[in-house]
Amino acid sequence: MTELQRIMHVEDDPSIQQVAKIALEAVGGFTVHTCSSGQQALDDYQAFTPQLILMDVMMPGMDGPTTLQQLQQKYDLSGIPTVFMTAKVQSNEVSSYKALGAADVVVKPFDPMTLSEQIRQIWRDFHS
Amino acid sequence: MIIQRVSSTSNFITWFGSLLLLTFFGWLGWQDYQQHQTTDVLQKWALAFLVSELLLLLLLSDMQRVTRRLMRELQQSQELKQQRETQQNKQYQQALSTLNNIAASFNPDWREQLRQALLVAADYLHLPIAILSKIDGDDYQVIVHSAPAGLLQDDSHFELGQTYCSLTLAGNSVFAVHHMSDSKYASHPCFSAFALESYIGAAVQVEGAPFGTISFSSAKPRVRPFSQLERDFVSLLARWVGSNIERRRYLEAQIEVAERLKKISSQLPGMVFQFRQTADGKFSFPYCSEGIRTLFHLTAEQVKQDASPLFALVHPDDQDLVQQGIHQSAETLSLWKQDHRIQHSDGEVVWLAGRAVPESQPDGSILWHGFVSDITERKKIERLKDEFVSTVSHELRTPLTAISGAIGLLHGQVFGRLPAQAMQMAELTQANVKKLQLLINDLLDMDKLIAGKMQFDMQPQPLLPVIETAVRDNQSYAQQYQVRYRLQADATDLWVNVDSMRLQQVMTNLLSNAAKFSPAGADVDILVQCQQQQALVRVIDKGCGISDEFKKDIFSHFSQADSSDSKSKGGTGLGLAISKQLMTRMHGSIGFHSEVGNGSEFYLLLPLVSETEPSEVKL
Repeated sequence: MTELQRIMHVEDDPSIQQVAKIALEAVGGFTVHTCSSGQQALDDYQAFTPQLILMDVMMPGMDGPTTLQQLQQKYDLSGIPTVFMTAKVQSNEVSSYKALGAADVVVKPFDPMTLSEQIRQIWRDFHS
Repeated sequence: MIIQRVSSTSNFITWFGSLLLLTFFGWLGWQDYQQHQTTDVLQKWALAFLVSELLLLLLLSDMQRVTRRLMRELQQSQELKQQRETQQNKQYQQALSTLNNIAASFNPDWREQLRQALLVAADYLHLPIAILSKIDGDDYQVIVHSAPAGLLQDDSHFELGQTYCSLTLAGNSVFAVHHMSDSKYASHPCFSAFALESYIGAAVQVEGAPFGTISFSSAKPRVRPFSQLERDFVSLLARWVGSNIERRRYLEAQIEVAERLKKISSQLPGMVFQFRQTADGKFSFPYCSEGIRTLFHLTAEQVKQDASPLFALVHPDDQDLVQQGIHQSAETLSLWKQDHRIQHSDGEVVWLAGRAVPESQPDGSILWHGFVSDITERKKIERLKDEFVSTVSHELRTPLTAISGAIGLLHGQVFGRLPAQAMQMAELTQANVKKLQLLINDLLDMDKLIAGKMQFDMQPQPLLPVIETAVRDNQSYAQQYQVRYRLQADATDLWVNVDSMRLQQVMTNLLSNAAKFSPAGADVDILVQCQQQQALVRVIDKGCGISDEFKKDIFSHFSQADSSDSKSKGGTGLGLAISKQLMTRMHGSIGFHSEVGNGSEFYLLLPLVSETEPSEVKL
């Protein structure tokens, strides 16, 4: 299992973009590429080649699940776990996201100090 | 007849006497003849017989004459008596028929009805002036009268002392004088003023209190005094007049009430109604206020006999609901209360809130009294409110996520060490952001519960682990208040069908409340027990308890005993309302016992299930 380094974060809110970027880079030591929309994620995917995608579910224009679907159609994501970020979820919602191809779900609001560890755990689980 | 019998009896005595005399004198003559043997003796006795016979005949004929005379006199007196009785009967019949005519008469104008009665009675009594008066202190008011034209007017006033009625009232029974100038009342001021020679009057009582009098008088004296029949007649008439006034008052009060109801109900923003279901299942609206026009575009007349025109307006989607509601209300004789829609022919949909109380009637029908009002606007506002709460909550989350993250980074000293005070501020901000998150979560939960959109992942599972997790997760919260949780499980293998996350949410609410309201250093006991085929979870604190006036509101939205509580203790006041909803959806229940100063006990009851019971996902 390679070590997780490159994370693509897809999120429309600039403040959350910043917080997540710092939380993952400063605390977790990852390299984060931020996309402001699903479309940008599709455009930037090939250039960045992320190891993991962290994506907001509710976004204007193209939402998280649709973006994931499009990415899956264009690229091979079999080794790239996608983690959805969404507000307080119910267990059956988590399973529906997983059915769409998500590796896991991170609940908003997230704790920036533990987010990196959480992502790392998901990465490990994905590869185990 | 009697005379014939007397005559035949006297004939019989005549013949029988003559025979006796003949036998007697024959026997005497025979005795004497045998002694003296001479016919002179026979002649003497024959003469004696003839004289005796003559005397007998004379005596009998006189007796017969006297008897006949006596009998004739008797007969005459009997005939006279019979005539008088017939006369009296006729008078009684006349009085009764007059009273009957009066009682049976009806005129919507009560003054005219009474005037008619007075006229009829005056005619019967042969006294032309008839007055019904109202007496108030010294004031004598003519209410209704019947008299020769120009003599009197209704509503004229006299001084009571100037009328004979003062005597009627004083006597408290029928007062009658047939020849005033010849009586001890000749000096009465009424006689001086009006020269009324004959008078009969009686007091009128209304609702048990003196009202006034009825009186009949004439300027002419009567030949004979008033009879008992005439007195009784006036007395009965006075009673009839009294009860007639009572009835009128009652009727007027009813009319006034009906008028009042009509005026008030016309101002109501809805419709008041009576709704009837007959024993054979027919529906009608015996009464509908004017609101029926605005709400249903119908008139009260259109539904008076048959409720169909109104029922036809009920929205197709609500037809079954309304029918079931009415059926249930009729079956259980319980309040009918329903929000439902109607649809007008132009397609306009109106939301109505209806309520009515059923009453079983002696004829087997059921009569509802109720009110229905337009709540379209309220429904619109409710929907807007729900949408608002939902939107705001969602919109609040995004900035809150950013704030929470940013503060978390500062507090986590990602950008270098913070001075002690800055650290303190970061902690304070973080704690408040947490509170905001909880508040928004509560609002969203309530919103989902009300809208019925909350999903439950029901799974049969052991109860104890869920409770243990909840207690463990809340331990740090309790520590803030220096409170300790003590979990004691009397039954360890209870299985329940629940959404474990939701049950934990309920437990978190109960545990945090118990900690919040406990004094520092106190213990909160959590007991898991089995009670009558149900799992029982009890959370017992030693806090301040719940006051009686707050008890009824404890499970309602935004309730906290004291509005200052939310400041000192934190929380939205939604926790228990959400918990109750969650427990209900999970087929369980929540309740409490509490006494001010003696702490509170909140308990959860859940039906037990066997381990093999299939899971059920409840939407």
